This record gives sequence, structure tokens and C-alpha cells, in this order.
Amino acid sequence: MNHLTTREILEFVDGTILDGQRTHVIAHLEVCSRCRSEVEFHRTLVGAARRQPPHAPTRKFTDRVMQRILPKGQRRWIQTIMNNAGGVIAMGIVLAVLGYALLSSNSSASTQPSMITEMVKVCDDLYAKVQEFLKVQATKLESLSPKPRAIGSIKLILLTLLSLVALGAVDRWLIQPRIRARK
Amino acid sequence: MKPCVLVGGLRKCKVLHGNVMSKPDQEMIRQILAGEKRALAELIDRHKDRAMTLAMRMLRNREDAEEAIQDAFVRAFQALPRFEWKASFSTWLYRIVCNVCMTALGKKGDLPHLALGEDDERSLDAPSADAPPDVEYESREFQSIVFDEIEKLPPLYATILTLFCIQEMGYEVIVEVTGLPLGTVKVRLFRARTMLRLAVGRRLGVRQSAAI
Ligand SMILES: [Zn+2]
Repeated sequence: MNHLTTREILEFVDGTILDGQRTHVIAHLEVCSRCRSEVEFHRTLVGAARRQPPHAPTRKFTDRVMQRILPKGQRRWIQTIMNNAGGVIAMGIVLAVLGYALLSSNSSASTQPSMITEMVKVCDDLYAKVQEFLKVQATKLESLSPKPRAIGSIKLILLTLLSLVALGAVDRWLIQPRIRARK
Repeated sequence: MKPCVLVGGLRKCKVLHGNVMSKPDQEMIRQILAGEKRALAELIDRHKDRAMTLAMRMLRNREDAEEAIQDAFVRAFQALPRFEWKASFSTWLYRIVCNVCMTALGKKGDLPHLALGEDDERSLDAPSADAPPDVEYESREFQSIVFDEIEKLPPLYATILTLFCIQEMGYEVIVEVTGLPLGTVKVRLFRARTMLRLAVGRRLGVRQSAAI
């Protein structure tokens, strides 16, 4: 007996077989148990394949796609803050240090030094020491005089602004490219 | 169709046979274009698993597959205002997934492996394989053997089989998604199913003879 071909069996299972061939296939299946079990096996395979669990992407997938699709203005505020974390931290540090410097200048007339004044004084001393170390290569130690507080505060402000630029650069060229690469 | 009801803040429609059916893609796309972010998230959630399954079959690597479908979703949504509904959204999306995966394979130099040479139809006209072993088809073990063997199929065949079985696409839709001619799709799909049938039959045969 000539058994059904693979094509005939699969087209019969899918219901895409032409009418003329369909009659021939049905007639054969009535008398051939082997082809009947083959048809049944293919039906079961398709059924089993359809019940396979799909592969799922990672949990944050939808958020990441939305972050890439939505215009910046529509992103969640928390994402905006996270994306600009470097800038936010830098700004916080700068504002804090500027506040300390200004407060310390204003309170310098006070007879009782505050904690802030003490902190600025420590920073000033540290800065003066560094400056002294650098200048010692060129000048004599005895020609140096202690820096007035007002000049120290201005330099401190300049240093803070420099740190702002440095932090901004770190955020722009080191942190942000990494965040973009992770997306 | 019965009137729409509100379920969990999202409007869903009850169909006559009692199942709760979520909004059709077309309605959600209209909402997305009107600026509704929730509809965007819902549409991504609806299609991400199937897109991931397709990409996994083609690329065989989780990270690559996830990156590919991320790119595909971004491309699809960026082009959404120009979408013309000549095909369904899912067909269009899976076509983009296929293209992105093909590009990824091309970059890795794996494309020749996917695009095999001539698809010889003659093998399909040969008599079918030996009689299948007598097994319990509904068992969990049978399911897991089928799953294993689909994963082992060459990407070319696993991809077409995935579109046919898991995405439940007809030949014409597979033609649209893959961009292959109908004849090639049919031959590759039949061959994929024959390969799966032989592999599963072999596994079950081995198991049966071991039991004897
Ligand atoms: Zn037969």
C-alpha cells in the first residue's frame, strides 16, 4: 500500500488540502491505521507546540522601551531626576559650600565663632598650606604672610565653581554615556 | 457584543462567549497617538512575550533577543503615525522584529546559517516517516520533549515554526512577516514540522525501548 506523503498529511492536518486530494486522503485514512496515527501525531505536535510557554523579556522591559519612545517632557519626574543625578548632586554640593562660605563671611564679626565658621577656617588653613607648599619651591618661607579671611572665601567660591564644572563634566561624559549604553 | 465595562481602570469589552477581551490594537494605537501613555505600556506588554519568543528562536541568546525587540518596539512606535493598517499591528511589529534580528545575525556573520540554500519540495512528496510510537500525548513529559526539540531546531526552521504554532499565523501572514515567497514558507514550515516529528518520535522511541 502506498502511504500518504508528508505534504498530504500536513495539509490535511492544517485543513489547507485541495478538495480533490482531500477525498483521496480521507479514503486512505479509513483503511490505513498507520497514516491515521501519523495524522494524529502531527495534530498533537502542533497542539503541544502551541501550548509552549513564551520567552519573556526582563521585568523592566516596558519601562525601558517607554523611556526611549516618549519625548523627554513626558518622562516620569523620578526618571528625569535619576538621569540627571550627577548634575543634581553637583548643584547640591555647590549650593551647600557657597552657603557655608557666605555664612562664615557674615558671621566673622561675631565674637563667638559658629561651627560653620570653624569649618571654613579649617578649609582655609588647608588651602593655605597647599599654596604654601607650592610656593616654597620659588620663594622664601619668611616672605609669606597669613591670608586674610575675605580672600580665602573668594578662592573657596572659585574652587567650588571649578568643582561644579568638574562634576558636570563627569556627569556628561562618564555617567550619562553609561546610562545610555544600559538602555 | 455586550456593552463595554470598566475593569481595573481599563475599559475592556466582554464578548458573547463570556471571555473578557482587551481592547483591539487599533483602538489602543488611536489612544497612543492621542498621547495616552497607559495605552502605550499596555500595547508593549501585550506583544513583548511573543516578540521575545520570536527573537529568541532567531538569535538564541537572551541579551541579543531583548536588545533586538527593544529596537523593534522603538522603531515601530516611532513610525506609528505613518502606519497604514495594510496589515495588523502585530504582523507589522513581528516583521520589524524579523528585520532587526536578521540585521543582528548579519552583523555577527550568522546570516548564511539562517538562509539555507535551495528548498527542495520533493522530500515532502515522499511517504511519511515510520509509524509514531504509542504515547500519552497530553503528559507533561511529552510537552517538555516537544519544547526541547523546538529549541534544538536550526533557527531557520524554529523561526517559521514559532510564527505558525506560537503566534498562530497562517501562511500569508508568515509571508508578510518574513518577506519570503509563499512556496518557500510552506516548504520550510513542512520541513520544520517533519524535523520536529522525527526528533520527538526518536526521543519517545528511545524512552519506550528503555522502558521495555
Ligand atoms: Zn497509509
